[in-house]
Amino acid sequence: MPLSLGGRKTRWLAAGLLLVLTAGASFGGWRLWVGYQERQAQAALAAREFDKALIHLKRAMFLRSNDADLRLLAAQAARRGKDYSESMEHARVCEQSREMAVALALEYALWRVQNGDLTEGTRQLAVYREQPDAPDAALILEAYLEGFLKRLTGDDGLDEPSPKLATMPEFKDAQWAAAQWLDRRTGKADHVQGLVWRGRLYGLLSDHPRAVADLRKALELDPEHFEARLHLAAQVAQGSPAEAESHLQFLLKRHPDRPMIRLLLATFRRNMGELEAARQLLDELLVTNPASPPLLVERGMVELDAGRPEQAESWLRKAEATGFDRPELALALGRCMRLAGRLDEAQRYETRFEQFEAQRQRAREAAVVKSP
Amino acid sequence: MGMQHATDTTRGLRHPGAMLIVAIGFVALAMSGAIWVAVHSSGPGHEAPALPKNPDGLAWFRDVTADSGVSFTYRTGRDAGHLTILESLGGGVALFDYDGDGLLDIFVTGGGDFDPPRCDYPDDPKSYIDAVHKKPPAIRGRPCKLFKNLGNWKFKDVTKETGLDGPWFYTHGAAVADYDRDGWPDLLVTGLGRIVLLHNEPDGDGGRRFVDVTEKLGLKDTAWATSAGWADLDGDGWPDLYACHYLEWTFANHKICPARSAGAPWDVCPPQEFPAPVHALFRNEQGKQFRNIAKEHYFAAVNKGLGVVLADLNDDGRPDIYVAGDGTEKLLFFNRGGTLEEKAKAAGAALDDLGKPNGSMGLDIGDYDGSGRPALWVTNFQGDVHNLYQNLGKELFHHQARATGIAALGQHWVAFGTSFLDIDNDGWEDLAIVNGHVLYHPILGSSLKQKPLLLHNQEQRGRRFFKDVCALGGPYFATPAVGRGLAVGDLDNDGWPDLVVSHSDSPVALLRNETAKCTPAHWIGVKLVGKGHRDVVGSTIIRECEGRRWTRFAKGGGSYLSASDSRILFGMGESQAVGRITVKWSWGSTQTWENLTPDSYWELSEGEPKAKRL
Repeated sequence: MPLSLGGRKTRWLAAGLLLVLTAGASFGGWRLWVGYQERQAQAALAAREFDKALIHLKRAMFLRSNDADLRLLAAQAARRGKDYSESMEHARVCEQSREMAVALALEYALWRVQNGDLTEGTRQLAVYREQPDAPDAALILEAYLEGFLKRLTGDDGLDEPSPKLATMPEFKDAQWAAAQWLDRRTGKADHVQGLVWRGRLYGLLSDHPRAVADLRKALELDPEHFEARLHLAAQVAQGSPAEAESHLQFLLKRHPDRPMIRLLLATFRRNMGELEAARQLLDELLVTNPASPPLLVERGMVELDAGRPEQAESWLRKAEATGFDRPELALALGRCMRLAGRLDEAQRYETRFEQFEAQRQRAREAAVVKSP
Repeated sequence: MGMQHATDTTRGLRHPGAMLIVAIGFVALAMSGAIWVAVHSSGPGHEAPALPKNPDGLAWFRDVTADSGVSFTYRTGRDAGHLTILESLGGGVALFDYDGDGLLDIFVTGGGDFDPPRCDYPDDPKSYIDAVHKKPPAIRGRPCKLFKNLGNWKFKDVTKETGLDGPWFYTHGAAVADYDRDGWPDLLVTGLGRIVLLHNEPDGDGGRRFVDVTEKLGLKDTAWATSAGWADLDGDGWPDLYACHYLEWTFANHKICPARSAGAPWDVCPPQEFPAPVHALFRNEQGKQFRNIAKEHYFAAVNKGLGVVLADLNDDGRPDIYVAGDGTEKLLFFNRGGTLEEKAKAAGAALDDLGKPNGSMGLDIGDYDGSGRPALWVTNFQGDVHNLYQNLGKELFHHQARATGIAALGQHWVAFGTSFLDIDNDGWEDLAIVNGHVLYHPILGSSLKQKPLLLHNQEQRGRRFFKDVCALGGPYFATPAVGRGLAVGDLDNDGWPDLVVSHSDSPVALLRNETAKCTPAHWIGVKLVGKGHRDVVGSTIIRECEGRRWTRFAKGGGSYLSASDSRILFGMGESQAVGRITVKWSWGSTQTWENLTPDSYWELSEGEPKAKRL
């Protein structure tokens, strides 16, 4: 008897089959999609494009929101991309999964290390030494290096060379970590980053030739590497100002929406005595950042250099009104007040500046990287 | 939208990583140099007037040392290998007419060495230091030299016949003044643990000789003396003496320090490792005695002194004193009529524009901006911008190194001898600087030997601006060396200032100014003579013509360890009209002369209405 599709049963059967097929296709497609996003995320992580990795991971998590592994990977990616608050958010979601407890503990530890807790960092390096081939072992090296460099630059961001660093255990650990990283991480992006870290460490020892060599090599391999180019500019600024300026111009072309580059260029121009050019750059920035203290201070400095203390004061007071309390502002206002003949006020700002300098000097003399 | 963008941007600026990078770049680059003039011209501000171009093969300065008869090298003692901070200072040059023939002669200090050398001591650094403390090497002085100017760029070594053939101690600097007002310039030499005053007197054969009168006059100074300068500080007509002291160092507290560069384990220690001594201020009691009155002026041991200049800095007719120190705040003493008031910080001349003291070595004063007031100029160590303090009047100074293009030189220089001089006689004071590191293994890619610098004072957008013109200077300015003392003087009386440079462990250089071949100009020179040969440092000389004014200053000290030609030159550019020359005599009155012919030297005597052509 031939199969007839006209019957009720048949229609139900067909509908059911269609539903199953649809569900199957959806499920398959969903798995493919998630898998695709995961692979893209991994590729982005390998390329050290952490923001991009996070985007792919979030897409994957949209369809698999309870996937603790994805969530942990997102926490790691955010941390490695220095978005610490997002990293914490993902990590806290992971807490709901008991199987993640060990991995999560490591992630929290690395969060602290990367934020400068080198006591924890030393502990984690010891863990690494015992199991250097563990899957996430390299992340320990990375977190330590980032945390160490962040810790050393301190509040004012100075990469300040000091011969005392060479004898510090934490510095030796950082050098060892950089060597391990370069030895084990063969991917191009990781290699470039390793060169940048090592170059910065050489710079801190005033080993200028090696610092420059590493940073140049990093740039050769990845001309778009922001950190490499910026630190190379800083290294060569004293002796090759033309090259330093060319690096800044390059960064500005690539990152026209990053006001920090324009600010650096404006400062550069002021140092060259090109006050009009500095003024113009700063005025452009101030249109969209009228309350930015670094911009306001620099704008005031341009007027101070131009011998216009009244105009300088106007900009500096705006910076002061934002609550900005930094040595450069105190110094500039002190100079301003002295030029204006307002000696009591000048003295007040000069005293404040001296307090900042005394703090900095104490930190330098201690020459020990203290964990928070 | 704008606010959101502003917020995002602000957030971007506050992002920890971003702030890190901003701060690194800001401080590093805020302290950095800038573009070389010739390389980039994008954007406003690169619209400097074109420099005069030299005819083919000509340069502003020609090194004429080889055929001059001046063959001399200052020795530091470096070869002994002790890595002493003493050997980092180098020596100076004095240009003065010792024999009254109208030609500037050249005196150079000799330095010294150490015996035995380091290799006779244990290898291990700690053992070496222990041994050298217990049994220090002898510090021997090397001969200084006096070269008589025979004219036509020929010189003769007259050291022996003038009584200057030693024995010498480890010497550094020289300063010149007629301390006894007999009409003949006398010579002061400074060095480790001593200063020596040499009286210029007849030798009985129609010539001149120098006689050591240090002890006789009570000029005792056992500290490490570096730069010195003379000026009549109390208005009695007799030049008093300011002697900078550097550090308290001997082999008894000698140390060597880890090299900051990865090139070698050890290097010379920085000055921070040693305490600062009090400087000396000697009152000249009518040429018969000297008395150190530093205590009466409450001098404190706060400045590791390497450079001093004396001149009237606040237009009150009295010579003031400005002192450059190595890693310490500069000192500025205003002369209140015999008492000195230290006001560098209040005047804005103690620190740089980042609020830091600097490693300061050489200095000078000059009216670079046509204000009629002397600006303060100081050369500094690597990592510091040189200081140019614009004189705003009312004892106030404003740091203008960045606005005047000085910061554009970069910061890998370690600069010593320096002077304002009008290289091309266009009427504007330019700058010459000699450089050379003190570390044998410098950091950040700097080097022991460094090129000297010539900076031309130009107008740029209504401001004065110093442009690097080494390319016009000639081969000397393209050659790295370890430069130390620099003296400026018109050695051939052609009205164009020449240079003499002392280097550490390499020959002295004589640089003849040949700018006239490239850009001819007129000039006028004056020599001031005080009444009864009184000291005239602190006097101000003004040339007025066609509604414009040019101002120069009679100064003591200046540069580094050196003494320049005391005559005053005014470059006149294309103008042949001298106009009026006014001298505001220190401690005294004002006099004016007119109708002086250009392109010649004139002697202007206090109280004499008529100028004497030289």
